[in-house]
Amino acid sequence: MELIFKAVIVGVTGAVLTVLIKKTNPEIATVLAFAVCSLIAGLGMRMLSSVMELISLAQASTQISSAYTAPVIKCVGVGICAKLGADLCKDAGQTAVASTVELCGAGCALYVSLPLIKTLLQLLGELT
Amino acid sequence: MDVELIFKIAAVGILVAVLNILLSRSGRDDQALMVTLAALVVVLALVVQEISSLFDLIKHLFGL
Repeated sequence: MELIFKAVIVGVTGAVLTVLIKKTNPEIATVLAFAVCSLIAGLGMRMLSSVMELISLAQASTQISSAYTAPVIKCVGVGICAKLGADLCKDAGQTAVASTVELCGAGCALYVSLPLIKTLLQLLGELT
Repeated sequence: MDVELIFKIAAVGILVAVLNILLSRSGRDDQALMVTLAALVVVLALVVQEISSLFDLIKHLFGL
């Protein structure tokens, strides 16, 4: 449970150090912000792996075929990556780049969920 | 290892800030720019490993 304390401490010290360096050379401050982001995201992801095990356990016990749950999990991963990248670009002052990263994230999420949509349409076709 | 990375980058940043002021005060502005570029390359090399390990973790975790 001490993960949250470590994340807060790392985040706050990183933010303070970023402000310290920003005045003289802002580019190193931006790279420092990237490092702090990836560190805290790494901490969060390791904690998330236990959640993933629970999901696969639940899926095995309820015999839902993985064709339905895999795209959902992939969409979550694509969303997290796109959001992280877009916010990093915004921090660096490039809002246009951030919006293109978000656009690409949305495209990837849609691409990942294509098979799901196909099975849904087939299901609807059988109903009517 | 991870928290030292932040302090390493902050130390490089502070060192470069001091060096820049020293060099610009003594009139050698071009060398100040060189120092900043070199420090940026060093810091980027440190951070790139961290970011790639993060994306590998995400790829492994979400099955991307």
